[in-house]
Amino acid sequence: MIMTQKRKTTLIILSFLLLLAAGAVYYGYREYYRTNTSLERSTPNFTMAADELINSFSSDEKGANAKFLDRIIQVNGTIKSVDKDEKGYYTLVISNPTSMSSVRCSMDSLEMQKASLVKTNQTLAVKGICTGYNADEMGLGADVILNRCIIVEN
Amino acid sequence: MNKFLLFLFAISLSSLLHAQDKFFTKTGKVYFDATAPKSPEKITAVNKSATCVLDTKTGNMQFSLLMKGFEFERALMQEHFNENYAESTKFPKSEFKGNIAENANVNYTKDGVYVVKVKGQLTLHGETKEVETSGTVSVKGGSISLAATFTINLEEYKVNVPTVVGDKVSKTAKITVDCALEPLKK
Repeated sequence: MIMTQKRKTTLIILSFLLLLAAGAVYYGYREYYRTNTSLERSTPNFTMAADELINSFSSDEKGANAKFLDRIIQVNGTIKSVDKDEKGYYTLVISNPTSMSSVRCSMDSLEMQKASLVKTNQTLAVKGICTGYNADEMGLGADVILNRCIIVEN
Repeated sequence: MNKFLLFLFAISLSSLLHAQDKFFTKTGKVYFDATAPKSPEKITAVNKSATCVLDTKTGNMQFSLLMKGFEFERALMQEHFNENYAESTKFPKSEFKGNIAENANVNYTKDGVYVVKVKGQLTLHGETKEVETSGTVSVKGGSISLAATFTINLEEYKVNVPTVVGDKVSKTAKITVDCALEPLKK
């Protein structure tokens, strides 16, 4: 086959388009199967004391939702309790000892080992994705809930 | 003197029993399954932070959970669930307020498994509908476990499932509730 200039150009363009298509398919495949990865290496969008986060929601739930929902929040405070449920999932409850409200940190499945070592009254920082706020409707105290939480190492 | 002590004992015992009226959890599990038959992949999620309160005296029960708390395997599926189907930013919570029918038949002070009927109002995606299901109440060592599975019609809650995803996403969702409750200390 004689490689004319026109044929050469067409071939180059076709190859380029093929490469582009392959890239798009690869990207699509990656995105479709993307799982929720660990937040260990993620930078938090907000860093604050647990009390501050709770107050933001209790004073203006709508505004706080707009600001914090789906964001990575790093909270620091005192551990009120380490809740382990019947399936072995851990939730670290961070709260001011005198308050009924708390930030409930549902731990990432890979963080269970570290969570089991946490003690009551310990102060630490935890980061997770904010899923929302439960106002105190049933007399159980108000909570801000964070999911996929990771303990922040200093 | 003896009668007085007995009286005091009876009073303190009854107050102890009264303190065991309400049971609750903040780590209740609620599973969501809207996998269409013959779907190539599962459309399932779990919420591990449901709040549940049960009044054993009346059989009154309340559930509450945050829609964004549902965890899916695939991040994209979770995003679609929140953005397109549940519209979680508009309707962040789902609640159930109901009763155990014939609650008096359940002996909350004795270990055992009781099959019960639960009736109530489920609020999802801003819509409230009547739900009735059977479930089990298991009493063991001072704790109470609640379990129930029921199906809901997503259309009733104005959740739109487009035909184009009909081979994967069902128009009905199976909800499974699994909660371990502890006494609420006053």
